[in-house]
Amino acid sequence: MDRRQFISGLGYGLVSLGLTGCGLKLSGKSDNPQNTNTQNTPNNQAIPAAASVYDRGKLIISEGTDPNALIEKGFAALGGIGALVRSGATVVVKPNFSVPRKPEEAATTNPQLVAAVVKQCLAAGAKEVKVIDYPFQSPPVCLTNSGIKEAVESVGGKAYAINAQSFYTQVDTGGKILKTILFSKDVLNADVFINFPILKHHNMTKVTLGLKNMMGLVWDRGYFHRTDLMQCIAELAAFRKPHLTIVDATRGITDNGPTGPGTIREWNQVIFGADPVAVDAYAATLFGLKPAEIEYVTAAAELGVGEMDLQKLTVVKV
Amino acid sequence: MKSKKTLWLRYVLQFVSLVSFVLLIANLSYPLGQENLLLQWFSRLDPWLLLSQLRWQQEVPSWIWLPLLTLASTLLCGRIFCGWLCPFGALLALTDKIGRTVFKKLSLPRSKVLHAVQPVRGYWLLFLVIVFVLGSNWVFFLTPFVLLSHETVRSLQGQFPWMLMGIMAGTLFFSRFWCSVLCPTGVLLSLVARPRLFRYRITGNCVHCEKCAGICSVGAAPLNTGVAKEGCLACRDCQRACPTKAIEWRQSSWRGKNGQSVSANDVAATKHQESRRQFFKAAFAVGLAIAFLKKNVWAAEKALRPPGALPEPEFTAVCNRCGRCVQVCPSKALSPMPITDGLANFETPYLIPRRNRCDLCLACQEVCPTGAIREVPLEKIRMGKAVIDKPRCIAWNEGKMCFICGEQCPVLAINGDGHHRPTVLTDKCVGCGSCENACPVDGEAAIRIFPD
Repeated sequence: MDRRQFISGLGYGLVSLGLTGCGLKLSGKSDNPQNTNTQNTPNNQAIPAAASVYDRGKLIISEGTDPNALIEKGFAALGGIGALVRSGATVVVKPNFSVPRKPEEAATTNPQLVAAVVKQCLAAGAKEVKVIDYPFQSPPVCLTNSGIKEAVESVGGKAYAINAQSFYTQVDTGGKILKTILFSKDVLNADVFINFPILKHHNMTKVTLGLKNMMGLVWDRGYFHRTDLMQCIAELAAFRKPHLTIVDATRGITDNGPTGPGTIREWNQVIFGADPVAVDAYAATLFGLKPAEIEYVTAAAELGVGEMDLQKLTVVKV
Repeated sequence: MKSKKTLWLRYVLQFVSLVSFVLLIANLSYPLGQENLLLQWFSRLDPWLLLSQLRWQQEVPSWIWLPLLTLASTLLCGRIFCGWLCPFGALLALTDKIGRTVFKKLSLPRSKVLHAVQPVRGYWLLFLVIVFVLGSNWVFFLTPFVLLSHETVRSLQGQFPWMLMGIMAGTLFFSRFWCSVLCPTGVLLSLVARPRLFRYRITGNCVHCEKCAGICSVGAAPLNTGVAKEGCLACRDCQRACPTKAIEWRQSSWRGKNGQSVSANDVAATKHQESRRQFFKAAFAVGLAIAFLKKNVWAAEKALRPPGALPEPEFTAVCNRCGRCVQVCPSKALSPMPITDGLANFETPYLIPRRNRCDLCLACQEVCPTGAIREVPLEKIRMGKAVIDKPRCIAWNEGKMCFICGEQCPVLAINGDGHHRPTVLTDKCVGCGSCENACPVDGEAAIRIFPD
């Protein structure tokens, strides 16, 4: 098992290096002492998750109501999707369709936005775009009700639920609490990984965002709840960062989350950013919260995952 | 020429019926489409379903014309439903064909056995009717649409369809014994077919070669009586087999049964004896039915039933165990109850939330052909109630910030206090089992659903 992990890890590392061209340069960012792997075993975690090609200090806020325009404007402002998605790349998009709600109930990522991202990726030459989540309810119900399956398939992507253990492989996360977990194979094997949460209320964490959305890539979520939810989310974020986080802040529920139904509020914004902590920090302000009030954001920032101080970030509205 | 054409027409009808029925069952999935409607309408051809509806829903369904159509066609031409359209009959006809090709030597015992067991049919029907009237729907389990549906679902779930295999094995040796004597629909239609208008009869020169009796798959050939018996499937095999072309499809003459020259005295004597014998047999059937029912209705432990299920014990009585709800359930939460939970519950659908939760998609209500799972809106569903085992709950006992039960509750029935310790709002809880399913405590969950 170790040898296989080593080889696949090496392979992943090479792919990510080749893809980003600057993987080593940015690895200094995660040289936080708390984040070092103490187990000293050769595995894919020794190499940091592929860093994004986009400027980490910049947040793009795309405003409007037309799904395609929101996504197109955002990518254009980032510097073009071509920089991220190269020809032949495998892209994994992780929206939130974990609850059996319809798009109008605003508890799942807007399917039209997801489809627009898939369209962009394919237009940039992606070989394959996979749209995945590990929903609470069964795959047919969540994929159908959220409208994600229909929308994604209509533009040529694949949408499925990773609700069987065969979709996961064991990884060393190297955290204090989160040491080894079963993590999504699709994400580990992807060239590009885009996290695409919806901004909505969550009864435990106040608000669910990009970092929280990553829990849908872990087989045993119960472990998070049994131990320390906030710390686990932060340590998971330190283990693997998406190349890009897009937050659907067009509409979302402001109470009764994450399952809803709840009171819906409209922001008509989509947030793009390479730094997952920065994106969540900004999105929290839309909810009327200070970034520091979201415990997992603070914990992730402490682990050096990203920047939560909005003063240090450039916010570009388009 | 014409005979060839009708033969092929029958083959095509039977093939289409069997294949489409199995495919429709296999394709039952969320979200439901046309396949469910087709299945519903198809299975409504069975008059037993109408009886069930009248017995349990106490209202005349809008689709009453479908089973009436079957009955009317039976009154006209005999059991053409069984011989031409029934998917299970088609499967057994094929099995019979194979049996006759492989075990050629059994031809004579086959027809003898078929003849010998014919009289059992009446008592069997009486027994079934009594069980049905007293309130148990397992009678319907034996009807063709239900049995084939149940066995198909079993196979699709990876279990061995022992019932189907047993019947098919029997058919290999004893021809369509099942259709002729045991199938409730077949037996009922045999009764209806007695005064039928058209039937096969010997009109020409019969040479008593017994070929018609040998080929008849239900023992109804017109060999000794001159007229095909009421079990006749109108399949035309006897006519085709007849070397002298003596058998014809004729309108029956209501009166004037030719060649009945037995003296009146003899008739009276045999009739008297016959009636006494019949009385004992009937009494035996009634006794057996009641004894069976007593065993059957014995109250088993309460189980978590599908959303909208009738209250017990009506549910076990009305459910025909067709397995469509088990097949359609997207979360695979519904499974048939094992026999260890009692004969009354055997093969009825139930939920084990710790294994799989109910997604409240309510597809099971739509596929249920009997109304055992009623169309109840989400707001009114009450399958059970969640109860928190506080000493085992890590939020209550260890102060953990868990609250996964509240996070995943689809009906907002779990409230958290300032420390995110859960409490159940019993008036909101529907009993879907999301909380029990998600509870991260090892082994048995710290929040469990108890059936209502």
